[in-house]
Order: sequence, then structure tokens, then C-alpha cells
Amino acid sequence: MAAARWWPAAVLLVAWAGVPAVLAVWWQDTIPGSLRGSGDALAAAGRLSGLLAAYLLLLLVASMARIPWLENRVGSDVVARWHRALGEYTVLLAAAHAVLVVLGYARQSGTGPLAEAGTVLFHYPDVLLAAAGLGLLVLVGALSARAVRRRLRYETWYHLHLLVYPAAGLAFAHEFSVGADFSTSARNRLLWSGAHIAVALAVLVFRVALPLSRSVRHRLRVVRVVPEGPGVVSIHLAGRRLDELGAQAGQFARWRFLARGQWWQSHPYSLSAAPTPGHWRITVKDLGDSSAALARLRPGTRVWFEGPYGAFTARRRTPSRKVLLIAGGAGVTPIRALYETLPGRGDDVVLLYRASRPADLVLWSELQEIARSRGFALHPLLGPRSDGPDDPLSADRLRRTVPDAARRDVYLCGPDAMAEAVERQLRLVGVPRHRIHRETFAF
Amino acid sequence: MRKTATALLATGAGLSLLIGAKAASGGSPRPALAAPAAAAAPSGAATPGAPAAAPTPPPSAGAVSGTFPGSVVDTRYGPVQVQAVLTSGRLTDVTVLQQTEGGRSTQIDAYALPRLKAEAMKAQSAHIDVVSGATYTSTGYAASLQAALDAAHR
Repeated sequence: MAAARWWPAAVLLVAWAGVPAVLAVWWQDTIPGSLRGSGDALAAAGRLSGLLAAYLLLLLVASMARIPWLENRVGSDVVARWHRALGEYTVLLAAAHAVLVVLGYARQSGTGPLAEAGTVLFHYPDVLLAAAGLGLLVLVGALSARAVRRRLRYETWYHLHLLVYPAAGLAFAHEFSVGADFSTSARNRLLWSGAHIAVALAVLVFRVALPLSRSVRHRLRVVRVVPEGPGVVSIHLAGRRLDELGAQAGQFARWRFLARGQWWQSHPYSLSAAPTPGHWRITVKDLGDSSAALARLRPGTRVWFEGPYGAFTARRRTPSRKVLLIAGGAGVTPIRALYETLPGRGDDVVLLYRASRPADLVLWSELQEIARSRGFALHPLLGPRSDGPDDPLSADRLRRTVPDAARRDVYLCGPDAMAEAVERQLRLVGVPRHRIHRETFAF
Repeated sequence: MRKTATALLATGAGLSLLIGAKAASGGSPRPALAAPAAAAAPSGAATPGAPAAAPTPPPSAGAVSGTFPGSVVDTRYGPVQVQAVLTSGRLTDVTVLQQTEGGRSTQIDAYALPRLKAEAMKAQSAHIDVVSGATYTSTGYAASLQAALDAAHR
């Protein structure tokens, strides 16, 4: 559906519309002529950055509320990218708010910044709580910095990230008790709490209630665990009335296996075969975390799940165009499901599968089988990674392998670094950005 | 990280412009008595019909002595009320009967009230400037003081 590409822009537009609204609140509440010295200006900057940070924090929480419409129309990968880009900025803005307010107040009252910080922390209502919230935010932000994140286990990072909820709660109280824009205006208080309640409800409904009720209703269980190659297993799942969930090839879910040592963590994995009303399959490569333990899952194990999510589906494609699928390593799983289900025949669909060694071509025999029965092209691209023109996914080689690549819709899934590099090459080949559909599996 | 730094710099520039525009939209320094009606609406009937810009009668005119409570002025942070002490028509002291309270207000009042008093004593009237960062307190203070002086010279 061509309209699908406008959804992200529309959502961004609505989200950004809140920023001038927030600034307008400050403008309205500030008396002309009350800004005279550097202290006034600093305090005003502090107030503004605080208002903005609070609004963005609300957006950040909302973006991770797993609102189905966002996950499926805009795409979990797109939303996750926004969340990442905005998260860092928001944490720094919140920290700037604290610093600017203290400096501004100190200038206004002629005290030292440290003494002023003490006064604000201990004598202003609820500011101590907010400072604790800011501490949590900074902690979560630091843990999400790329360099640190790489060294953390997924579960550690994920569970610490949940500290954002108490952080937002702790910060909320001081917005009303000392935030002049709220303490003095019932209308602003009403709008502001309304927005917070809506987001909190979305989180409760879509992150807790919906997954729970779906897990109970559809009774998903492990039926078989099949080794697919070194460090790779497929997990076959059976459940009742799975068709009600409208899962599509290319989507993923977050899975929680109710087995010892596993139940407390959940991981996102893509469906690796076309979903049927009674049967789903995922394929997992041992990525070092706890995915190794999945090989030991016993048939009958109950599975709770959040999903299915994702816009990496046939819906994103332009109906009249041919398709180029590009998979890197374990990123083949959603591609494999798309390869099986995308409509067309002959050269309508071409699959390029990048891996270092033949042994790393996960699900290879299945792909060959699909290629044979549907007449689709299938190219294994082997060899060590390189950034030069010799890489099989460089612009030159892409042009030679798929001469009409620039006119196709491209679905791309692989490790982050690989996907980014390939996207650049595709742009060189002449594929416009809106026809490159990318799924990231590092979140 | 680089994008974030750029975004923060742009935010800083944008907010500076906004604050600059707001600061330029009002004159400075600003007399506290000429406050917008919404900011300092005198409550009660203590200042019936006293126009905000009306000049205070010259202090020497009546040679009044005594203590004159001003009106209670409701600001958005709470009521403000002062009383004027006059000795032979001269304003010799201003004491605060009610002030805004809680968190920031308490701190603002702590530094703003002494300055307002000093200004009032020097001007011998309620025609004083807003103290930086204490707009509401200043306007409430000036309005209440004006009412007290009006009562003294009636």
C-alpha cells in the first residue's frame, strides 16, 4: 500500500505539534518584562527545557507502549529508531533543566549555585523525588549508550530500562507542585494529567493486558525443537485460533517460554515460515544471550507472547513492483517467510542471501525448495565481510547481480552494521529511500 | 551522539531566541503598579476605584501618622498584604502581613521583599519597579501598599 509510507511522517507531525504547544504554555504564563537579568533568562531556559523534557519523556514511553497500530503501520523498527534517537536527547535535556534552574535561581537570589541546589532539593516540594527520577533516567541513558549497551546482556539492559517508569512517576509530582505553568492553571493540569493517564493506560493495555489475554486464549505451546545447523534451532509452536491474530509473514513477536530459567525474560524473534491458523514457527540463532538455552526446550512448554508486531510485511510493498529480498546471516528468518508468501512468480522476487560460509546459510534447503517450486531467483553471496567494491553487496556487484534493482521494492534484514552498509549501497544503485524496507533485530 | 549534540545546540539557540523575543516584548525596568489586571487583582473593597496609575498624594500633604493596612491582593501564588507605617506623612516602614508561600515562592519572597521595601522607602510611594524573578510578589506588594497609602491620605 503506497499510503503506508506517509504514516511515519503523519505520526511525527502529530508528535512535533506538541512542542509548540508546550512552548506556548510558557509564553502565555510569562509576563512581558519579567525577564530582565541573566538569572531570569537562565531560569526561563530551565523551565522551558523542563517542559520539553517532560513532554518528550511522555512520547518516549508512548512509543514503547506497543500500540498495535504503531507497531504494524509505522513499524516497530522505525519506532525503535525514533525512540533511540530521542531518548539520548531527552535525558540530556532533563539534566540541562536541573542545571539551568539551579543556576538561574542562584543568580536571581544572589546565592551560590551549590547552596541554591541544596535549597531547591530540600526545601521545594517534591524536587527531591524528581532528582531521584532524573538519576534513574541518566542511569538508563548511560546504559543505552552504544559502547555500554554492547557489553550488557540483553536481559540486564531490558530490565534496567524498565526503571524509566518509576523515573517518570517520580518526576511527575514536582511538575504540579513547583511547576508554575501547572500549579496555577487548572486547564493545564487537566490536559497534562489527561495525556499522562492516556499513555499509562496504553502501556497497561498493550504491554500487559493484551499479551496476557492472548497468551491465555490461544494456549501457545512448543511442539518441536529442530536443529537447523551450528547454533541454530527452529521452534515449532501450536495454538488455538491463531488466525484471529492476523499474523503475517515478516512479523515478529516477543516470546516468553515458561520453563525454568526462561520465564522471566522475553525475546523478539521473527516468524520464519508463513503462519497458519494452528501453527507458527520461529528460528533462532545462538546470539550469545540466552538463545542457546532454547535448544533444550521441551515439547509442551507453555509460551506467552506479545505480538505479532511489525510492518516488515507485504503491505509495505508497491503492488506493481518486483521485489528484491536481501538477508544477512540470521536475518533470513522474516525474509524466508516473505519469500514463501509474496505473490508473483519467476523473477518477480529475487533473494540475495549473505553469509560468511556455506554452513552459515540458515534454512538453505528450504529456500532452495521454495525457489524451485515458485521459480524465484536465489543467490547465495559468500565470503568474508569487506567494505570495498569487492563485497558481494557493493553497489557495482548489486547492479550486476540484479540489473533492475533500482526499480524494485527492497526488503532488507540483517545485523545492524550490515544493514546500514547495504542501505547505503542500495541508495547508490538508485533505490529511493522509501522503497527500502528494513527490519532491525537488535533492540 | 553527534546528532544529539547538534540537536541540543539547536534547541539552545531556539530557546534563547524565544526567551529573547519574550524579554523584548515587554519594557524594562517595569513599574510594579502598572501590572496587568489579571496578575494582581486587588480583592475586597479596600481600594475602591483607586486607579492603578494615580499618583500618590505627596507625603507631606496631610502629615498623617499611624499604621495603615493595605488591601489583600490575590496573586496566582497566593495573597499578598502589607501595611504602611507613616510618621508625620513620611513612609517610615512597610511590614508584610501576608506573603506567598511554598517552595519557590518562599525563596523568592525572601530576597524580593527586602528589596521592595527598600525601593518603597526610597520612593516614598508604591511606584516601585518589579524585582527580577518576583513579578507576582512585586505587583501584589505595590498594589497593597498603594491601597494602604490611599487609606492613610483619605
